[in-house]
Amino acid sequence: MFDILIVDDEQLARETIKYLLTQCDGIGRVFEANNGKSALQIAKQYQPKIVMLDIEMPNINGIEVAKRLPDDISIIFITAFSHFEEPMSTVKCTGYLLKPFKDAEFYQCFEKARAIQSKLSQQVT
Amino acid sequence: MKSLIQASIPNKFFMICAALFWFAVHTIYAHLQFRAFEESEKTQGWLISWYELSPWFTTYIFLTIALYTLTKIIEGKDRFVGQRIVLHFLAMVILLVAYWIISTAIFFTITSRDFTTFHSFIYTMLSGTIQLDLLIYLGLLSLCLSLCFHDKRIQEKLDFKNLQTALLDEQLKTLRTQLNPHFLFNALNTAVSLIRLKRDDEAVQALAELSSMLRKILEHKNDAGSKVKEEIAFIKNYLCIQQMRFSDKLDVNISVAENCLELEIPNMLLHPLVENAVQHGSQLESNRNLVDLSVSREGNQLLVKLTNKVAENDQHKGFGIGVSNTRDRLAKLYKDYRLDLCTNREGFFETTLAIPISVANV
Repeated sequence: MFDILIVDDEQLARETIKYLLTQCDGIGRVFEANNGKSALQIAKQYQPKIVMLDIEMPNINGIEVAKRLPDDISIIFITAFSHFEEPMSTVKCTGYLLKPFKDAEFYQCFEKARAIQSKLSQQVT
Repeated sequence: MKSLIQASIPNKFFMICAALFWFAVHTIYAHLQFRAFEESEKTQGWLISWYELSPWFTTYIFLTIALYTLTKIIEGKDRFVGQRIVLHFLAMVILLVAYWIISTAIFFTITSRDFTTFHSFIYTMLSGTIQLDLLIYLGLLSLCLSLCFHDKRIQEKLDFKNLQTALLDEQLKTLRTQLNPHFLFNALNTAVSLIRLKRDDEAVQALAELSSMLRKILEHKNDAGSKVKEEIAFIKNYLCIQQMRFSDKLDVNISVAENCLELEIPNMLLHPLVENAVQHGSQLESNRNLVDLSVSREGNQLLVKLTNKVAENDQHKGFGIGVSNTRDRLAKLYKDYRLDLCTNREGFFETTLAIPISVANV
């Protein structure tokens, strides 16, 4: 079971990701943040394993949030801005989705992150 | 001048063709002369005939290339017909005189003749061949002129194509300034999200609002004006989609005075200002952003007032490209206008636009 954090300033986008996650097995708690600052606080407090991260956000943008998150967290960027591809490459991330994306793309990315986390948890035990 | 000459020199293909042509003519002419010598029982070998004729024909290769270059220079600029005729005549005199002197000099050198007879030789030669040389020159000139006109036509076609591409780029640029591509992707994502969440009615509404916006942009002529009510309808379409995205953050209040609805203003003048207000508002962490838009008439001026909340640490520093484009447009359209963007005493961001009501509306 993996806890997940959804970070997006758009309520509808958060609801959609939450809905897509309900179709997956093995999901733990799902947290939500509508800005970078809250995302960092939640990440520190609840230590989710997978973060679905928007880039254009109030306060601290997604790239900055990703830089400040622990290395063992799998990050999936979800953005409508293709010009972020270059800055995204400077941050360690499992994948990125360009809005609007297909369900299959979302699940493919998510499964990749989950596989990484399973491997990491096996190493720890 | 150097670059003009460089640009006018024919390409390698032309040079090779000219060389092969004159080589063939040279060979045929040498053969004919050899046969004539045979009939008149003069003893001169075929190769010697070919060799002795080579100065005249080899020099023709260079004369052809020089003539093409000069023709292109003369025809390259817009000149009066009279000017062009004079220049072509001068070119003919210079090129033919040079041709006669150079080929005779080469002939004298390769046959080891005495140069003291140079003048008399040229005189004798010219009395026999001047008409033929003139005819050949005029033939070459016609060929070079047709090639120049052909090149010019191809260049014109290419220029037209480039112009069309530039025009398309400009249209795309205009489209982008009118509708932010990021907004378009976000709007489509909103519709996709609503469909996923099975909120079909809202999805239909989002797509209908987006369609109205695209219709106005794609079907409206750029240079035509637009009525205030049409501009407001477009803004309402835009804000409706944004409210679907940020339902927890965005409140909208629009009031337009009745006597302003039919007034004509430049197309898509107000939208960038509203977009700017929404973008600044999206930086708010938790507070609801109230975008308040009012349009009224004060005397002979149309007054647009827009207020919105703004975050203390707003990441959208300065004003977006939309606002600077609007300012540029206003400067081009009106002598007397006002566009102020500032934070008022209550901490709200305030945009004020005042433009004269056009004569068409009076």
